[in-house]
Amino acid sequence: MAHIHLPDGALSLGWVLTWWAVYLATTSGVAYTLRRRGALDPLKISITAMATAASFAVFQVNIPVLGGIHLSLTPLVGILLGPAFGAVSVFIVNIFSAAVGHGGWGLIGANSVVNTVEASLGYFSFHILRKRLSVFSAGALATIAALTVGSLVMVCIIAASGIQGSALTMMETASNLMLLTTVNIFVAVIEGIITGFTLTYLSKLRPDFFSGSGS
Amino acid sequence: MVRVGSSSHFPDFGMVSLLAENGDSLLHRSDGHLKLAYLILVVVAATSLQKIEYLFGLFLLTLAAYRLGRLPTRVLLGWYLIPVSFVSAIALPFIFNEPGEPLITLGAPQVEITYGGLLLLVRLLLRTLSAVTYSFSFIMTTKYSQICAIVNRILPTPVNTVFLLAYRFSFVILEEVNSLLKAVSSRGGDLVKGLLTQTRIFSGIFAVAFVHSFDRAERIAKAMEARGFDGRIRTYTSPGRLSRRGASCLITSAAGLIAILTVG
Repeated sequence: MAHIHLPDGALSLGWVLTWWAVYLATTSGVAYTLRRRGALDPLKISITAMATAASFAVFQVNIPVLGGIHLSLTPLVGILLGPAFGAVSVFIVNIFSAAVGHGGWGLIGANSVVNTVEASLGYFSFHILRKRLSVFSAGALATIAALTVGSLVMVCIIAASGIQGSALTMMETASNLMLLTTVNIFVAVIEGIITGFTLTYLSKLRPDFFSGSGS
Repeated sequence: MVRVGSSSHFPDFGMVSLLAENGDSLLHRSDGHLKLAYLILVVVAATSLQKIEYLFGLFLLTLAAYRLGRLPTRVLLGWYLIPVSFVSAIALPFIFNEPGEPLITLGAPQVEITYGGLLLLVRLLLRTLSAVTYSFSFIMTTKYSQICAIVNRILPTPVNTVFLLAYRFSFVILEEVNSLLKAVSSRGGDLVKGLLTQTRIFSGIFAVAFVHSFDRAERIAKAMEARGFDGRIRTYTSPGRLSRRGASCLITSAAGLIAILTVG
């Protein structure tokens, strides 16, 4: 897994509510902006829905690399949909994931904050890198950067909130999670390569995705 | 050989849907809102309870609810693997350096597993598995139409619209991805070695899945426009109202939780 979805019970109720509040404040802003921009365009909505369904389907696939890994695909979704619709998509994927025990219901807020950072960073870094690099290189590097930062954001969330029942300090908690971050970054490299190839195929099959992406 | 395809640790959505639509247990007949309210209550309880005996009790209650829904127990154990691996990834390092009485000392340099660390791991496992077990009971006993009605009521537009379309089509797209994976497997895709070759094969499959999804999205958008889409998808099932008996059960459970939290 290129990242870990926080399970229910990991953080205390106060922090669960705090991260929900942070995410809802962001999402409300996004939903308001989308409505104001008249983004209730059926095509944008259906593309977001299908990308959400496709990313949820793909992330259940076991990739037989290093004994089997699962992809998160949040940077790819961000690159294809843009940060605003990307934020909506990752929120819905997190609800689906919580329903099947892949991350907690209470922690949809915290998990969505991490995933929104990944999707937004994927989008912006891809478009910056695309000016100088090929689709493959830009996609791979943007994905690695997004997932690495996402992984660090997750560590920061856990370190700031503290694992429930633990007596360790913030720094001790963060250092405990560094091994996890290293593994996540290693898997992020593989996800980066897969995303790079996927984007290359997509740019050949449907170049219009790239000209029209973003929101 | 590593299994190629949809992971067996993820629930089979066909089965989940079949059980939700065709099951006939007390949970299946219960109101969707009541089950959702209980899901929130279970999550709050799993997050707030501190004593291990209470958490164990909560886990047993969620297992009882799962059995009440006449749901298959064997598959549940397989589905526990991912939540357990998440808990382990987060809590395992803590069993070594959480302050507390050392229980086991391993190797040289000495590493100690502490009582406090082990307790933290067990607590987190019980919290997570309680929420996961009840979550499965919820999705496997609630009909698609009821979920749609609830989602349409609680999520804002356009999030609810995207949710309803994505939920409906995730079954279709998952089946399509599985078909593509089977096709690769039947051509010896499982036997391919090398990081770049493997990633290239999977990228091709994922790209096709996305292209098909976007083609489908365009067809759906045209259909939506043709029917005068105004930003909302209407659901024709009434989400219903909470029955008096359901409400009193919920209030009693919530009061019980508050009492436990207050007393101890």
